[in-house]
Amino acid sequence: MHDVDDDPLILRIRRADPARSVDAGEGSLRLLLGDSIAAAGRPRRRAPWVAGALLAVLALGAATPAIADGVRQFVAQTGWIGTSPNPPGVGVGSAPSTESDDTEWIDALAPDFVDYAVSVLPVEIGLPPAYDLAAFARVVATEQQAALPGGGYMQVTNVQRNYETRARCIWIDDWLTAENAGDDARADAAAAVLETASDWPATVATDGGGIVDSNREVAAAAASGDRSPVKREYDINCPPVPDGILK
Amino acid sequence: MTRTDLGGAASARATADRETGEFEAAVVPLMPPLLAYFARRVLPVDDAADCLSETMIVLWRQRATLPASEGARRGWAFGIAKRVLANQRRGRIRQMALADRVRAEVRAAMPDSSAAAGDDDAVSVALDSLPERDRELVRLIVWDGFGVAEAGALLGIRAGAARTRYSRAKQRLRELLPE
Repeated sequence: MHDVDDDPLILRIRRADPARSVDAGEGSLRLLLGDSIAAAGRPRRRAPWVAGALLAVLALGAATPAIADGVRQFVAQTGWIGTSPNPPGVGVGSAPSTESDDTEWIDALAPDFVDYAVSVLPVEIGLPPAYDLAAFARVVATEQQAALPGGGYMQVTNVQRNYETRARCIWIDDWLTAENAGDDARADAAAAVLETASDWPATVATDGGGIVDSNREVAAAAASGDRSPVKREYDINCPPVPDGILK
Repeated sequence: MTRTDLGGAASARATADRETGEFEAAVVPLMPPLLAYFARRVLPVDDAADCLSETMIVLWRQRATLPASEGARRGWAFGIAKRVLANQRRGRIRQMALADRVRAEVRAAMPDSSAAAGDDDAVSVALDSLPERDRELVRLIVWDGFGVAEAGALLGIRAGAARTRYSRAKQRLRELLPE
């Protein structure tokens, strides 16, 4: 039996190593390391390579979401995509949204987490007339960050699903208020939004089974004026409407 | 700004500098083998520099969990490199201006931009004939310098199974590459 060091087979494979002559030199490597550390710790919108990446996106046109998604503009963006084999920060408050979620991991401790979250607010979301959508976006993201005081990572879909869930609950609250006051027009408007809210994208994408169907049942109950299922949904699954979001 | 403020800022700066210095001392020795790891596996080989930079960014972000022992640190870094490689293969690694100098040096070392071939086509063909996991096991052991159990751990294979697979792979390679 050959020892690894003198086994002709191993020696031959080793000689065929395509990278055996790769030697970047310590100076270059230290330069790269320093720049990498700087890139990791500063807002990406100021990093020179981002400008190039953005220009590339612009050159390719707006209809290139895969590339656009890959452009980092915020410190909160980790660059880690998907759930396999292991997400970053396992054991420090991280949780994948689903086993097949193919979106980027976001650092909840990053100083610009709220700014990032606001930038991915689902376009489908609207609120009843009394509420300020911009304030809602910041307050909800701040609450989500505060829920992980020790830090943690979450996927983009989790950020977006949180927005969808909170907005849907505000519409349920609005329906309950309108129904209680006998304001049919306002109740009908809220019921119509609840019907579309069942299909908001992050909720659908992260439905592990039954969530969308349950939401549709609640929406149907609201449309038919059946208060009991709507009230039950609010009591069980809705946090209070956040402060500071009224116009 | 008061004298106390200035003292606090200087202290924080000193702490940050010390943290950066300790991190650099721990990871600089890992950079050449990591660069070679990527150069062996990515096409175009220029991307190896971007993959290395991406790995360094992740290592820095996760420096709080940097293992103390050199061996554990190496396994940890290559585990992250493996995930960066998976992202590169999915087109998810961006070209970074900061990697230009290393990119040029990799290109100079491997001018044909062919990471897989090497200069012994028979070896390349023989390796390609192995099942993917066995091929990667051989590469990790022979090219990247891991022990059989360490390479198995990187691939999620138990030590005993890794030894069996490695032995089987070598037997197959001996048949294809007679002395």
